[in-house]
Amino acid sequence: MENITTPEKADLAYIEGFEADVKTKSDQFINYFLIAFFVIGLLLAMVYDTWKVALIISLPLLSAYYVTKTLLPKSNLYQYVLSAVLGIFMAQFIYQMHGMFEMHFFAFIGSAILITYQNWRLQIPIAIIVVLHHAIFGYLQYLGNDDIFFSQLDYMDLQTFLIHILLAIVIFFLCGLWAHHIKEYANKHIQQNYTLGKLQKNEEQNNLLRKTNLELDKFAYSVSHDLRAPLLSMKGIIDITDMMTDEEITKKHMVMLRESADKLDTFITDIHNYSRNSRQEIKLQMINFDELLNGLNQQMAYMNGTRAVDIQILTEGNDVFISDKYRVQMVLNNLISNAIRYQKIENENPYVKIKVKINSKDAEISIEDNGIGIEQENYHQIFEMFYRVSDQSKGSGLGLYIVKETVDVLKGSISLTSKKNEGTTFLVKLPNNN
Amino acid sequence: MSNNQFRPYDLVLSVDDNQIDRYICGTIVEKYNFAKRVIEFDMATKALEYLHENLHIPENIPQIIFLDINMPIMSGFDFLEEISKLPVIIQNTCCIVMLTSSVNPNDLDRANNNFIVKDYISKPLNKEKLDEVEIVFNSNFNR
Repeated sequence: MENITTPEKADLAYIEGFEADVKTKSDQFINYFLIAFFVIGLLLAMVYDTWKVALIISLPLLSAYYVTKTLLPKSNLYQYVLSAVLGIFMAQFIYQMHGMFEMHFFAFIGSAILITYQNWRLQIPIAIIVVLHHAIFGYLQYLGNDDIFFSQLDYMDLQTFLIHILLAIVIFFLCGLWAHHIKEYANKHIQQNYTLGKLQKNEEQNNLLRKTNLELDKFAYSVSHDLRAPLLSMKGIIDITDMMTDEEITKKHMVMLRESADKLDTFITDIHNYSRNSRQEIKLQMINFDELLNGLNQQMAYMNGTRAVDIQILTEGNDVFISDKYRVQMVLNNLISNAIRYQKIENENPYVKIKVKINSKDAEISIEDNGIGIEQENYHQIFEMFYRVSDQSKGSGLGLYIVKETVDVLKGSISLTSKKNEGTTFLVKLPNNN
Repeated sequence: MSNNQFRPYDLVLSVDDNQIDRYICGTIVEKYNFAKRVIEFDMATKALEYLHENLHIPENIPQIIFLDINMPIMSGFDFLEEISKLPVIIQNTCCIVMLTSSVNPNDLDRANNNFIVKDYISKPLNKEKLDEVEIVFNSNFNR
């Protein structure tokens, strides 16, 4: 959620884009307003013959605005200048019409125009000018200066003046408030649109990812199948050749060929298992360990090139155990075949003791062998990818890495105790999803 | 171990698009005298056609069918579907054994859930696997 609510650089750029849009459109409107104001000044000049005032004030105002805008197009300064310009236009019109009351309303027109920029601060320059103008000119007229043309009223006492100014301030305040509100509302709206767009994009990306995963899975499957099928044919031919020949040297060669083929087969299967574990979703189902282990036991009977090992299975606990069957099977398969593969040749009765204790929380699986053992300094390394104890190792260097990865996916743990030349015990704890 | 331990079956079909695998199957079956006769099909469609044509000739109905899964045009599973449409005599007399190089657990699941399939073994075929097939056959069919 965090990356959606806090604006990132991209979000800000997106909002700025909208702001630039508002600015461009508002600027266009202002061009028309300023021309209109200039023309009004000229029209008013006709009534009281105030051409000089109209031109002397309007032209510098217009140039002040356009010069600022041209010189500092990126800054908002020209908008503040505009605010002042609109205030002074009001003063000009009041003067031109010799204090005609209606001309005071131009302060409000100016204030309303400024809302378009959605910035309440723009109300400040115009408000200051209006207050200053009213105060100075009102006071001058009050003093009896007839050329000021501030108000057609015969006199303007302090109370009238204050009420007048107060109302003007209220209008400026309101216009500023609306500008601010519009701005906030617009920002929220933009953000919402942006978030929505982003969510949509996320959704699209998720779909793409899902599709890619599915395709990768299909790819991994067909590659491993396509690699494995001819390999198994080779193994079959090796079996047949071995069976049909009496030549010692050929038999010896067949043993070597079979060893290589087995190694390659393990590797392909491991890679397939690895890709499966890393991308397939967890599929929970009930697991009957007796059934599972007996099935594995039968498979192990066909392990080529190894002496048969006494596999003892003991399960305890009446709780139903629920987990991902294929992953659990993968873990057990790897650990048991390792126990068989790394049995001690000198041992007369090699064994693998598999104990499973199930309760409502988890399953504790221990796999004990009397094989060649692992040196303590190698404990943590054996779970690393492509780590092999020696060059003579028959495995792919992936088996225990996959075991660890798979146990992690199942949110379980794996540990071992071992003694060189005496045997190894792996302890796997898997949470029960019952 | 004697080579003539099996009481040979009359007829075994080997359905596989891979010629080498059919050769292995045929050779192993012959070597261990597992069956008197092996008929090979490189396509599931041809095997199906054969069964259609021989429905009423008892001696031509196989006792065991070794069936590959990944085959072009008609896969092993497609073949199973077609078999289920044939008269029950086929299902009652043929022990269908999936013989595959598949590592996909879904394939194993699919095979296990199909009652026509009696066993699922991985290639290559060898003596131990023939032993297993015989046990499976004996527990499902009368000889």
